[in-house]
Amino acid sequence: MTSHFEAQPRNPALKSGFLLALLVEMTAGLLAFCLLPSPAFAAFNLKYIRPASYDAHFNPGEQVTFTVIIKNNESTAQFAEVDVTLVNQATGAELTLTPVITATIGAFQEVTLTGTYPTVASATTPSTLSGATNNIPEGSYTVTFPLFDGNGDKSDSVRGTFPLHVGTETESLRVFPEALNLGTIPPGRYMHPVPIEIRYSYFQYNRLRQDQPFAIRIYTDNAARYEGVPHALKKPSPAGLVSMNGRYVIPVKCWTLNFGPDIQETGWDAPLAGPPPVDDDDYWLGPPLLEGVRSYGSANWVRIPDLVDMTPNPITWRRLVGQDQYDNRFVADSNVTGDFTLKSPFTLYLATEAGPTTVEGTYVANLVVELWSP
Amino acid sequence: MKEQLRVKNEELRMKFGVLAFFLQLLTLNFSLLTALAVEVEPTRLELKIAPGRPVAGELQIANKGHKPVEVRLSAGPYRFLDPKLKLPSCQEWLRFEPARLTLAAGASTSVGYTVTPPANLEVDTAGEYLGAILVDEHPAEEPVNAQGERRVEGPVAGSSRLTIVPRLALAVYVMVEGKERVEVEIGGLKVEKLASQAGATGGREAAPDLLKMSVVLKNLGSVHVRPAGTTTLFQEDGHLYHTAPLGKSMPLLPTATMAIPSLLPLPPAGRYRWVITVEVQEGTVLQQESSFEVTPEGEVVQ
Repeated sequence: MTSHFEAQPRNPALKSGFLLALLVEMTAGLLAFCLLPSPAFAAFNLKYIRPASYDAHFNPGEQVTFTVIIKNNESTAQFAEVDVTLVNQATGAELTLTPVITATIGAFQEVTLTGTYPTVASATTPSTLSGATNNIPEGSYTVTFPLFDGNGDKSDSVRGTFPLHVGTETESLRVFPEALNLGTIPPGRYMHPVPIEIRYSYFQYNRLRQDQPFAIRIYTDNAARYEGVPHALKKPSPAGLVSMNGRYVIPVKCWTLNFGPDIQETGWDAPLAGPPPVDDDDYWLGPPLLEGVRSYGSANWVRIPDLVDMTPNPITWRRLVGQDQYDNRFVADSNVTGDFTLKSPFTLYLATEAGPTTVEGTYVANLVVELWSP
Repeated sequence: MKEQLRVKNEELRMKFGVLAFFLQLLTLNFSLLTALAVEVEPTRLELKIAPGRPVAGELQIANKGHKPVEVRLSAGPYRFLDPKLKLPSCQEWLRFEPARLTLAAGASTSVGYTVTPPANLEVDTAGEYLGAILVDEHPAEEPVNAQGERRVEGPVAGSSRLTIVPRLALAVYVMVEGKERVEVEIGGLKVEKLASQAGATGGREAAPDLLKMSVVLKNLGSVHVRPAGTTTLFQEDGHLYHTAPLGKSMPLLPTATMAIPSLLPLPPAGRYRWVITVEVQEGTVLQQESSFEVTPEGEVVQ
């Protein structure tokens, strides 16, 4: 019995032709695979030349321009689409700006693409709305630039390095309460339990559309009230509370979350537990060093100076919050890592120390909270 | 020691937490109703003055709070951020009319200011004088009652009282006509790598290494300027790699030196050309360039 194949007449020419056709077909396929890139490969070769650029601050009604540079690393032209995506930092609402930025980029070419969108007051567009929009409502947003190819596949993405802010320029300061009745000041250290709430609104940008630096200083203004003890050899600073007869002073210290080392160094979890205890010298005077010396500059509770104590040298100032000119940080002796900003509102606590030489009486003071920007 | 602290923390947290919660709630509720809030426009004055000729203008003051306030205006010294600077003051030249006023809730008004330079200004060599306008908020005085008495709050005998005064300090720059000379030079360009704080972010994603490019500007003129400009980075083949606004526009006061940094993620290895363009004032542009290399090991060599 012979097999079916063996029964067929053998034809070498036919066999060779079949193999040749197969070889040609395979070569053509391989060539097509290598030379004509599939969309999936193309997607990975459309890249941003980092980073994207835009300005930081705008008033409603102004136009925001986003600029990205994209390079096509492929040997054929490709379609590119950039969807500028904003996420509102307060509400979490996600906005995709329309029309999206598109272009066809030639082989191995790089192009600069820009998209310009108007800003509007929040009354026009609710800040909680998510989805596609052709304008940017008031608010502060993180910015992302996802890049898509012609197939809609995400090819690359970059994030903006700073938030985009749309708002009206403002500079205001609110303090509550306007006056604090401290009652009878007890002997020893005493933290007044009622906090002072400070609300500030500071948004000024310069001609580069970046933040102006500012500082909120605190000091007493008692020079006119304080006389000192007659015939005293030394007249101390009028910083603090001054007796009604102008002779005596009770120093006042203050605390905000900005002051003092953090939990890693002190063991005190201030954000959760509130102001550190005034009776503990580590927080009141400063953490201990070797040989009984303390790091007085690192105390959590810090002295409030008087206006006459302060010089043009900012080291003599007491800043509650502040924004540096370049990196939005302040570095102080009690806060060597910087970051002297607190979101509004923040609370301030006051404490007094009535020592053995403190004289009984009624004490008053003007406490000034000052917003300054050059 | 740590354990003691932890226990102490827990105890105090419990005690303080409840108290703080109620106090904060109380404070928040009352503050929304009673907080003062004065806003002033403009937020700084940059004036030119001729010797012997006073300059007058207006400040717009608005009470955005919910109760009347008393606003007091006075002149103060300029608050320098650089302690080494010694520039003359114009504090004594400032006068306000009225210097004290009461504003109803939601009301706004204008306050006139006059800057009167001294007669001998011409003989002085300075081109600019600095000062500050201090705008203080006080609670408005209580109205007089039917008996003709005014309720004045003061400390009870033996008690103590602290009056808290919010103060807006507005910077004042007075330039003398004919003596203003604008001259700024680029004192140097410096490039350095800022290594990321890996591991210091408490498990969060480590920040990338940064390239810090600083330009030093020196004001050799007699008046302040607010420089603006751009920093641009080109790859070795001439392609644009990065462009960004140059730092921030703080006033560069006479005799002052200011280093303005610009940060970006550390670029890939290669040689780069860095071009700084500074617009000192309209029509006055400075430009300087430098080059540096980012090695394959990620080091920056200028």
